[in-house]
Amino acid sequence: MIYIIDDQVTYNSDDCTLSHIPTQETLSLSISSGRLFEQLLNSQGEILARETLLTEVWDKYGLRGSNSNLNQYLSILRRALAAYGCENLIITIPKIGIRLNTEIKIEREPSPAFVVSEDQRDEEPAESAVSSQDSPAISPDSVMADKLVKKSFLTVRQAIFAIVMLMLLGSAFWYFTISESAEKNSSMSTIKLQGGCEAVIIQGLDVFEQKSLDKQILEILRENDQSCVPGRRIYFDKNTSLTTTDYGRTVLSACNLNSSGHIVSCDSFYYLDWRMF
Amino acid sequence: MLTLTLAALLLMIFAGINYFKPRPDDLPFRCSTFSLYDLSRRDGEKINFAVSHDLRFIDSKLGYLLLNGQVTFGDKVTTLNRRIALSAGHKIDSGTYRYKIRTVITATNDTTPDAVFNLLLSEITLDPGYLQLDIKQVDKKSYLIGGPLSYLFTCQRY
Repeated sequence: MIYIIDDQVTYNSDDCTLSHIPTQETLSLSISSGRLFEQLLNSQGEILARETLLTEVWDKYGLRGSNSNLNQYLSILRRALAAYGCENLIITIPKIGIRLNTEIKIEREPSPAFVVSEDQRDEEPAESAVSSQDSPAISPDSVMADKLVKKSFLTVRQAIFAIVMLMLLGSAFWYFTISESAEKNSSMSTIKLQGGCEAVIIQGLDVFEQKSLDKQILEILRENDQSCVPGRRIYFDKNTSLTTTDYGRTVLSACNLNSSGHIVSCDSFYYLDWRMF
Repeated sequence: MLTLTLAALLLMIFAGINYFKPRPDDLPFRCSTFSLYDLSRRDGEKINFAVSHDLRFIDSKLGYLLLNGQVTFGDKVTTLNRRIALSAGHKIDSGTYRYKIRTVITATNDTTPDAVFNLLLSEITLDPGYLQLDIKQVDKKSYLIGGPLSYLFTCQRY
């Protein structure tokens, strides 16, 4: 519904905007301010008790209102209206309630279809927080704090959608790139050996046999005059046999790394039947 | 509409990058390394192959594995210099190539008996007719090469 007040100001109850007709300036009220104003505009000049307003504006919407809250929002409305040259529309009847000045002309027009912005919906929690506090004096600046809403909701939504799409695509690309490389070496385990070299156990590490693996790797290195010092990486794998007469195949590659940690060269040692001494 | 176009464009770009990016196991694949194969059995005779490998999968039709080094068999030491010539190869899964062994070419300086060389050949090949190797990248230019029975060596791609 659009209310035209004294041919000076219009109030659109759908999006809680107050517009000054001569200058086309628009001010967006918070939802509670809007509800309060709408209650007053629909009162037909009757006096509305404070309790009625508290119930209609706050309680019905699960919010907690107080007298100081009501005063704060009335003050906001009065200042906003006064800024647009409409003074004395809201009259306080001491100890009874609030009513509209019936001498000021108010006309009503149905409003066109309109989408309420997400921003406005999000204001509710902020108001409920305010409601539990005593309100300080409201300056004209605080009226302006009710954000000026630019009617470019669709553009904002499109931008947000585009960003979300980009993020999803980026994440998917990253996920597939990373998972592909992770999958390749997923079974390998890396351990540090005595001496400082690192050993990559190709088939993965069985915690129960780490000690014997350490011993076996160091033994193979020693047997082949290979050192285990920082800057060397060992790749180790074994396919042990179940029989006691055949140990199974064992392969060890002793690699030298460059300063970037990449392999420069490797020497490999393959055993058909490793002998534990 | 604009958003959908943008999303479709990005999808195409990502798909293109993914499609055209170089795969680590793309042919030609050439790598070399040194290996010591100890094929001795416990309490058995000493059998060692100290060889340099040069593995080349030139394309899906051609390739070879060059083995060059020294063989110790008991108390005898011989020279090994043979090329396993490959043909009719194909990729049988993501990192496995199978090639037909066209022939084994023995260099004139090779003094290793065939029976001894066959011990090494049986460790590397699938059977006398085929060579099947798994290629697994472990570092930027390093690959772990696996035979049908076990990993065999780590080599550097060049």
